[in-house]
Amino acid sequence: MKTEVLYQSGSTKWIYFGRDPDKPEKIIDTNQYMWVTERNALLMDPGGIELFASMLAAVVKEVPLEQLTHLFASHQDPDIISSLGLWDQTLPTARLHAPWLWESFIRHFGMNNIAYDSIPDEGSTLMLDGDEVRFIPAHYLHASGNYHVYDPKAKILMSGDVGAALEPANVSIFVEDFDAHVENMEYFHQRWMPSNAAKQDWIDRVRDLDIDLMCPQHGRIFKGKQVGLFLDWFEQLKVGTAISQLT
Amino acid sequence: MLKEKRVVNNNYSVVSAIVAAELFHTLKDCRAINLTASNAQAASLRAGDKAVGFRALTKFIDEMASYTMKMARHINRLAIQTSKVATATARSEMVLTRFSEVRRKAEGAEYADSLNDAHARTKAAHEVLHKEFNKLVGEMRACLEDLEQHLRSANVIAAISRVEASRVDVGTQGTFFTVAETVDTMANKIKKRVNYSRSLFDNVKI
Repeated sequence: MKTEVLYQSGSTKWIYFGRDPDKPEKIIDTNQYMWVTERNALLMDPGGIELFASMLAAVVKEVPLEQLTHLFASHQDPDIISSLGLWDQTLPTARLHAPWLWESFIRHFGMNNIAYDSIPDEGSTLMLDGDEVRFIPAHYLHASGNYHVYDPKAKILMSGDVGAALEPANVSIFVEDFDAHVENMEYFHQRWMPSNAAKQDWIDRVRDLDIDLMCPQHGRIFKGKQVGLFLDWFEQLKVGTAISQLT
Repeated sequence: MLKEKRVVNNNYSVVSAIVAAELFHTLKDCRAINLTASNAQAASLRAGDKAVGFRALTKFIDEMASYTMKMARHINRLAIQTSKVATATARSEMVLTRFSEVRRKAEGAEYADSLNDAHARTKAAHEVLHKEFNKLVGEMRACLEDLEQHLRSANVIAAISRVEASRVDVGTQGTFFTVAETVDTMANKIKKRVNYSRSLFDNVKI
């Protein structure tokens, strides 16, 4: 699995994991991110069952297992958190931060040990060794209960499915040419995102954040000005297109 | 099952679920025997002194059905519990399999040793589940064997019922022969289910 440090300052690190060469061909490629602080670590959208072994192996290359104390699931999809039953036996004292809306659904993946910390609709904040972890609401993008993670110090937004792209494996992890990248994102956003109102609400909220890196769960990472380009592009895009195709 | 459909499966959670279903169906057959015993008792009272022998038999028929029902419920509960433990065991086995994969992939990783505790804990939990599972399977097999032996008496009761039926008036004989027939048929049906349940365990290894 490809690993790359996206940010480092003092004991804080943002690490990217993805482009797993051992991933079975027919499952969608996913990006995982780990926010490491002095004594803790938060693994975001840890992925599906198929990814678990590669993911855990990649984690212990970066931090000792006992340091991985927190997991985050942006929503309930299998590519996000179906590995929960395996993490549950690996990290019995960890805490899972996930939408309140999906608690009784996510528990179907098997959760007897890990504690479920419900994120309320308005979002919440977690302090990790002095780092402020902000869970930002992103409801209906695409799941009805959905959050992103923002680090105000590192200026990084983990944006879940927003900014995702469908591309062949092994492409760069960063957006190189925004205009060329649009065609990889368009269908995904139009088809997976159901609500134009929810989209605009999220854009308005995110425009207030200072973002250097926007890190989606599929596809490539947006840097600097590309974040603004993405927000402008997303703003004019009509989503929920499957309905109009039916009529 | 009674249509001679045989499921060969070496997965204990599946086998346990099938046994639970078989035993659940057995309860219906037991209720049919109970009802038959009640009807037989009423008929024997109506038939008067000539059906005294048969009247005594109805008590045995009723007891046999009640015991079978009690055992079927117990085995059914054990089977459901076994199925749950088997699923937990399979999940724990999956974690151990993935851990082996992690070990291979994390060879030389700086914090590879930090996996040791989690690995040892999972292994220990798996052993506990495995022991619990073996205990439940052993108990379930013993109960099935016990029930099978008990059901042998059902055919004897049915045979005696036929003899007693032949002693009553020809006009009411039909009712009593039907009782004997029902006991025989239902008992054989239950025996088939129990036999089948037992045979399922022969295909799987603990």
